[in-house]
Amino acid sequence: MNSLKQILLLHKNKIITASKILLICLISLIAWQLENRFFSIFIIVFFIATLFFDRRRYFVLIITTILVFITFNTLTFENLANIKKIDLPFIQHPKQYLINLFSPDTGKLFFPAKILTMSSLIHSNGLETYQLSDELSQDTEILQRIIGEVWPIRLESSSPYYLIGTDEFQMYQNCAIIDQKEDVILVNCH
Amino acid sequence: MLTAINAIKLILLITLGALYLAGLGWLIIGPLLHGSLINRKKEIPRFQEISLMMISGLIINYGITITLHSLKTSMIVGGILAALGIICFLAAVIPSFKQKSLSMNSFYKSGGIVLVCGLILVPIMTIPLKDWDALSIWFLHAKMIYAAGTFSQFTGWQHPSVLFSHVDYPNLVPALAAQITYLMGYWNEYLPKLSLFFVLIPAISLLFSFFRRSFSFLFLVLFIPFSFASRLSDGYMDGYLAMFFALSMLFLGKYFKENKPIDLIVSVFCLSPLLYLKNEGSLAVIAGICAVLFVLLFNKNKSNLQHFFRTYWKLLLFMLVLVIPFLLWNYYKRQWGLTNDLELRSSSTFVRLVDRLNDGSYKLILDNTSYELQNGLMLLGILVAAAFALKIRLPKEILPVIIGATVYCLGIMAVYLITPYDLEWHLHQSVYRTLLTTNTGIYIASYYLVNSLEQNEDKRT
Repeated sequence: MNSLKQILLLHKNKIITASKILLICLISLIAWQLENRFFSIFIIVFFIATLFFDRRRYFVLIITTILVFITFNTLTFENLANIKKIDLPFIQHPKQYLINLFSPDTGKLFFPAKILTMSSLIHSNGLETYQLSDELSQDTEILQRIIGEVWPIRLESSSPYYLIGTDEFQMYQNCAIIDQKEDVILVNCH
Repeated sequence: MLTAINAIKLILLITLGALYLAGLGWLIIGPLLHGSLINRKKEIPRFQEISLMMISGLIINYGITITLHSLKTSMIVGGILAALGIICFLAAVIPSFKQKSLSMNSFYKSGGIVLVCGLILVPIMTIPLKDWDALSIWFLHAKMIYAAGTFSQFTGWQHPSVLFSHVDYPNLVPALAAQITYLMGYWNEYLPKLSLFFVLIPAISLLFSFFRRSFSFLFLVLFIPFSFASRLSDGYMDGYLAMFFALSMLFLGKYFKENKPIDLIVSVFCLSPLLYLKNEGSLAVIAGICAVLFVLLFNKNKSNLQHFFRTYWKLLLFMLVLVIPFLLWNYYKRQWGLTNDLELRSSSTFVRLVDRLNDGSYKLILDNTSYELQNGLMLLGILVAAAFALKIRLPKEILPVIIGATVYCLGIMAVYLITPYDLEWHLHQSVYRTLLTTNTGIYIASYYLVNSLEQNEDKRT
């Protein structure tokens, strides 16, 4: 028993180092299993390298590990790069951005072209209610965007005004064409 | 010239908006913290006080709008109350300014807050609304309120064409966005997003209460808000929900360690906007309350719950005031027949729960949850391992944070178990956002570990 204690005492540092390496290997293994393979290899290499440092500053290891983690496992730097990409043009040329901010009806550049066409037809013909053809209303994006875009003009099942695609006209032959723009037709099916 | 006019408009809008909210908030915060509207009796950190004022102001403003219905009337009444609040606040704060000038630390903090808020403000106001939920839910509600000029039954909540937009969701941000556009007199896809900025300011100010020239603070800022910064400017509420939950846990941990009552007040106050951001906010509040109860029960320095109620009865009373708009909205929802798509109260909920537990669907939920949380857990694991390796005791602050995050995560998993939608579709659509709150909780726990490791290193050197 005493001899075991002596051995433990004699090799205390080596045992501690070996336990730490084992712990690091375990974390690495978990990281590998979770498919964070670069991180897994990095942590082993970095930890072994620090064992040879004269003065072991563990917090430097922790900081570096965290920075590597942030780089590879979070969107932090990507978000910062995006912010830079958006902020710099604004700082250099704020004019158009501010005009956009303080003008009515701006900012529709991400709307599908069809929505803008449909909205234009609804507004230019002074409609108060409208309906969509079956094909258009089956497209969730078209349905939700047009409702939001032209609100408070409402989608009503009792409305005689239908927005239809040019390819659907065969099904609306009994309706009168009121207006047409690009691939959308406004018809009155009263 | 036009640029200068627009820039002045923007600065005025932000300044007046912040003053409006802070003025309204002082009507709650003054009596709560100082027992008076015109006397500042306690020395409370300024950034925390102003942040609490803005948080309360946001909720009071929503409360006024939901009570008076008309946007015009609510803004006039709100404006009068805010002016009163600002006058009282100035009367209370000017003497303390004379006594104590701004320190260098406050200067750094102010700079940091302006920088971080400014960095996020630009994407908020220069990228138009484009993401699905922003267009189909939050800012559609805002447009409905703006177009009707009222937050009432006449807004159009019951119209069949907008039922897809989850009309039962809380409307703090939509109401504020509607007020901004109503004030300016027009709608576009940029201006309503400015409402997000008024929610961001108090959050960032509170974050900078932890400012120290240290790696741990840098860690905190890199994770919160920058690891999910895109979620703060895209018009979704998930980023703000995660942010306020994280702040609540951050201050709760601080209270657990240092026992300063203001930290508990801030922590509890940070839970209040959660009720008004998203329906999941109610779950986050329950998780937060579990964490708060844990702290109160296991806090060695302050005896028990009875002591808490004796000391903080005023806090509870004011929290009840801040819950009124939530109760009012729930009352209106029942009156107007606005139901939740999850059908939580229907009998089929239990059947779905049993089915999903039996058919192994829960494994899919577990898989998705572990996938979303693995990064945060790995970081936490590494830091715990580092603490063990360096023979450092784990900081007790992480316990309530872990409890809060775990309760929220379990709640979200339960929601997926009972969802009436196709489970795979629902998980794919939302799990990366709903678990953001849990992830930020894990990051806060990691922050406390980094802080502890850093302090140990400082002692060693």
